[in-house]
This record gives sequence, structure tokens and C-alpha cells, in this order.
Amino acid sequence: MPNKIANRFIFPGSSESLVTALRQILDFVAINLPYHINAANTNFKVKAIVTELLNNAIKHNAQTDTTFDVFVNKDHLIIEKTDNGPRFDPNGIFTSPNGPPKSPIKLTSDMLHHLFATANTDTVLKFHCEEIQIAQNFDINAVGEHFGLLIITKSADEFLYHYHQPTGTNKFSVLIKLP
Amino acid sequence: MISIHKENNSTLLLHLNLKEANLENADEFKADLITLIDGHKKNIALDMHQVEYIDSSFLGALVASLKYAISLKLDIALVGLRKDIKDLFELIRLDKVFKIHASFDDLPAN
Repeated sequence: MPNKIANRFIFPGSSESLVTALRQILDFVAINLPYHINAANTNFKVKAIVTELLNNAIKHNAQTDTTFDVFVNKDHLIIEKTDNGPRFDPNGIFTSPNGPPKSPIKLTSDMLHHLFATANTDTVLKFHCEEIQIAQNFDINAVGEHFGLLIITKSADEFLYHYHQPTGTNKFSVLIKLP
Repeated sequence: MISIHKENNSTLLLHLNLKEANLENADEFKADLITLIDGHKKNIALDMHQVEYIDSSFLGALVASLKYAISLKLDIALVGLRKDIKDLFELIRLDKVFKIHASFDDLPAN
């Protein structure tokens, strides 16, 4: 990523520090966005993504610090959330004897979306989703109540999960293209 | 967190008095709203104009509350969403699930 501007934020994982951490990251992005891009649209995406990554840190890694690295250049904005908490292993795919399947794994499904993860390698997942045509006989009970990964997936141009086996490090990586 | 603005024949008009609607207050919000639904047995119109920031936990609490209301043949409409919040509803298509109005004045007559 040439000519990048980078900053690191350490989040202690407490809900009391959530809003402060969100504001610090949003302020850094707002100051460093290239002047030519649509700042309102990009700031909306960044706010949605960072909010859910912080939420994820509180829910799944409250015991240790979580690191947020933010990189900006003229073409891309990248946000990486790194921790040493429990491995993200949906449906046990990483720990199954055969390793992750080649085909997309359905993580969640409701009447609005299917959310998938596809294993790029044995340690990298790529998230993607499909919108579903809403049925005439709308059933509210078929609407999910967990939106975190969906919000990130739909806000990002690329959303990946990496696991580094030797160090036990989890990294969620989000890329936003700057138009 | 929730205050009653007005009550008419069919609808309880409420204000959500939060700037940050997040996982810290989502459970309490859901419990309070369900208590109001149980106590009044009316449709809900929830004014959210004060909310500057909402996360997936609070959105989940809103959907769970709507499911409860619909199980009683009632409804929850959302009022006064800021642009960012409305954009988030549209992103994950919750604008197809909730009736959304600009203000209490735009609610259908009861």
C-alpha cells in the first residue's frame, strides 16, 4: 500500500471505552481521507464497520487488548482488528479433520439475507452476502437479530478473517475502496 | 431511557432518550419497551431523533421487541431517524421490516 498513512489504536475491551475508541478512529479517518472522495459516504461506512468491530471485541475478547490498525492512501482505506482471543471457527470448519470446504459456508440466513464465508486458504475466510427477495407472506419471526457481521460485510468492499496459527492471532481485515 | 410523549386511542407515542444506542443499554431498552407494550397494549411509535449512534446489539433488541409486539397483533413504528441511522436500516434492509416516519405528525390517523 504505497504512500500510506497509518495509525494504531489499542482498545481495552470494556464497553465504557467503546464510544471514545470509536471517536478516536473516526477522527483519524476524517482527517486523513483524500480530499477528492465522498467523505460523508466513507465516514458512514467506517462508522458502521468500526462500531461492529469494537462490539465484536467486547463480546469475544474482553479479557485482553484488541489492536486496531488503520491505513489510508489515495485509493483504499484498510481497518485491521487484531487480537489473541478465541479463534473464529464458524461451524467448526477450521478444526474439522478435512479442513475448510472449498464451497461457501452459510453462516446465517434469514428472510432478508444469506451471509456466507468462503475459505480462500486454510486460514483465511472471505465474507460475502446475498439479498433475498422478500416473500409476500412476510414473517417477522424469520428476521434475524444478529447483524454485526452483516453490517461489516455490506459496508466493506472486502472483508476477510485471517488466523495466524503460530501466534494464535486473529485478524479481521476490512477494505474500503476510495472512489 | 424511554419516556411517554402522548397516548391516543391506538398508539403510544414514545421518546427514546439516548444518544448512544448500543450493547450497554440494549437489554434494558428491550425490557422497558416490552413492559410498556404489556402495560398499554397499543401500537408503539418510537421517536429516535436523539440517537446519534446505534449498533447491531440495539438493532437486535428493536427487532426482538417488534416480534413481541406483532405476537400481540400490535406494531412498532420508528420516527425521526437521523440520516446515518436511516442509512444503516436501509443497508441491512430493516426499512422493509419497520414502518419509518419522519415525525409523529406523519403517523397514520388512528
